[in-house]
Amino acid sequence: MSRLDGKFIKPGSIPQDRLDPEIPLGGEIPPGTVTAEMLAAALLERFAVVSWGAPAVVDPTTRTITLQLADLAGDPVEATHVVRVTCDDQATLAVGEAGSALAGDVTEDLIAQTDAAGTLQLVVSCTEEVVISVAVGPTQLSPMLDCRAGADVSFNA
Amino acid sequence: MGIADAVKPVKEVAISEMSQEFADKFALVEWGTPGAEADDKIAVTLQLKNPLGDDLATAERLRLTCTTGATMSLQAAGNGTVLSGDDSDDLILETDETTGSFDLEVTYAGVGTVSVVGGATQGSGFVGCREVLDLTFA
Repeated sequence: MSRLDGKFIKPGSIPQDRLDPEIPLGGEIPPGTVTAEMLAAALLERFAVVSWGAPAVVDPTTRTITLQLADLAGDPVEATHVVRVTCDDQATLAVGEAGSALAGDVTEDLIAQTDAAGTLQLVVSCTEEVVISVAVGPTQLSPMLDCRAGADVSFNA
Repeated sequence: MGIADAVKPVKEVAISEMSQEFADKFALVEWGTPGAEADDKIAVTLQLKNPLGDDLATAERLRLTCTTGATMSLQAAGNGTVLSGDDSDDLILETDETTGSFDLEVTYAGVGTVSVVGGATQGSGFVGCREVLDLTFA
């Protein structure tokens, strides 16, 4: 019998000074104390939050902007996930160097998949001098997504 | 203290143990009690709650659809904003950021039950919309 299989652990034998001081004796967690940061990594990554980088100018009618999925603790969700991206109808959306398009490439209503790093680079094209709003939302096959953050991409000279 | 007590926090974390900041990341749609029908209209308030059951004061974007033949709009001087689809059966709204509510008005000239369902859409956060609203028009 291995000494590591747990059978040598006797109930009541755990030294109290080896327990996390945040955990009170008796095993109860006080109401209202669990934060997102206390979740296990496997649970955290089930909740993906959309964040955006800064838009980059490619040419007068083209911009790129990168979407990154993060967990509730702010760390990147390194997984491929499906999202729906829409924008004002003066512009079109395409997938750039990160991620892949599943439907609607070069339209204002794109279904796309992040790459394995949870990153999706979008190419936004517009011939008018306006600010284009870009929004993300869940669609078929999406995980739990927080898409409250949108992006504004300016084509003003 | 036995080992069962020591591992208890790992296996028995309950919703009530969530901090408010954590709980406020999740919005649940709840419907208030519908008002009386008047002029083929019924008013009802959508209220966001967090998993602790507290009102969640935040601006959340939602999509509402309803039974064909009925239309939806914001009550006059009501809380919230219609983003698209006003006076239709497919409405995109934003709740009022100070109350987390949207004062819905449903219009139906027929007789019967109108069902309203919510869902996540572009720009939504973590939102649960499992509660269906059934309105009876006489």
